[in-house]
Amino acid sequence: MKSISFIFLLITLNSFAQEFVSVDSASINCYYLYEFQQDSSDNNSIKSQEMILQIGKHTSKFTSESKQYLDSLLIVHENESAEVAVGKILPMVMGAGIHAFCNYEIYKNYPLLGNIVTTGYINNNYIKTSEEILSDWELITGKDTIISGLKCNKAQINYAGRKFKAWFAPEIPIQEGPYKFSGLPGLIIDISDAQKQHHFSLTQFQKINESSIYYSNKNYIDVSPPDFAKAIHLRSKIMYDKILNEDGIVAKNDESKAKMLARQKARNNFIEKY
Amino acid sequence: MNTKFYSMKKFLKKSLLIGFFLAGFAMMSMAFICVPISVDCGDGTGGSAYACGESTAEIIQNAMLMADDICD
Repeated sequence: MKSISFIFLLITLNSFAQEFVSVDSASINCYYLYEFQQDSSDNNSIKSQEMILQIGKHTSKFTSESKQYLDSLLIVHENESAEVAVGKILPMVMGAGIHAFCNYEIYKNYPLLGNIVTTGYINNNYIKTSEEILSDWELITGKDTIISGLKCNKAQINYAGRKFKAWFAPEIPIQEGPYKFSGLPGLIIDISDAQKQHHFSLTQFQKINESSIYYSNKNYIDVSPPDFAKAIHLRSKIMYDKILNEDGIVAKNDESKAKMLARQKARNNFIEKY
Repeated sequence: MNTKFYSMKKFLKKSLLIGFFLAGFAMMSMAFICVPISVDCGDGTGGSAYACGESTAEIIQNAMLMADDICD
């Protein structure tokens, strides 16, 4: 009987375990504009999303500003029931959509130093992928330029099926950058792949008072980076079928339905190409 | 000795009851909830959907993703 009570107590405590855990304090926020060609066969299918890089003492977090805003609201309403919290949060975030290609959080040096952990809630599963910090940079000498008044040097790297060219500012001696990129002797100001289908550019560099970097504590399923990319593409296929069959998502009219279906079909060019 | 055993039994019964209550409450709070959302793109197109999940985070995140599925 005692053990049964103990098991119930454990289940209960686990259910109420804190969802967001502060893993570091950020003193710098970098804002990047992420422009990407979502359809590999259509040069005009450019989309954009504002992203944020929080830089702490030993950890950084990169995610979309919409997701960051949502997390801040979830923390405020953490102790309220889902019914109450949804009613309060939903009207505040409906203007800020999250593109399926930006539905992730990237942590560098957390939980392990030298590792990148990418987490996401995709297709109703919490998934996570771990890999080593990218270090195979090739520094290109004699190719300096000025971006936003900052003297920048060039470097390049091959990652996940693409060749990326980065401009970094040695006068900002922070070895950080957008997405999974870091490890250069200066902050990455601008980075894009050779085909210019995925482009991150720094829009704002902000020194801030200490603010927490939160990690969403979930029972993640560990997957490989290619499987993470597959899950993102799979969502588009699932959504295509749902829209077609009016399964939980219904278009206002035929024109809307055609646009929604075309949108899902066009989402075939995630940044990681395996 | 008997009294001690009786109070221990009572305590265990009580904690089991509390355990059942809390676990039941936890399960109720983890129920799958769906919320209707309606999105107007402002160009005559739009749609509606059900954003579902077991927690506030899941429901809202699905709603934000679906809002982007409906409108650019």
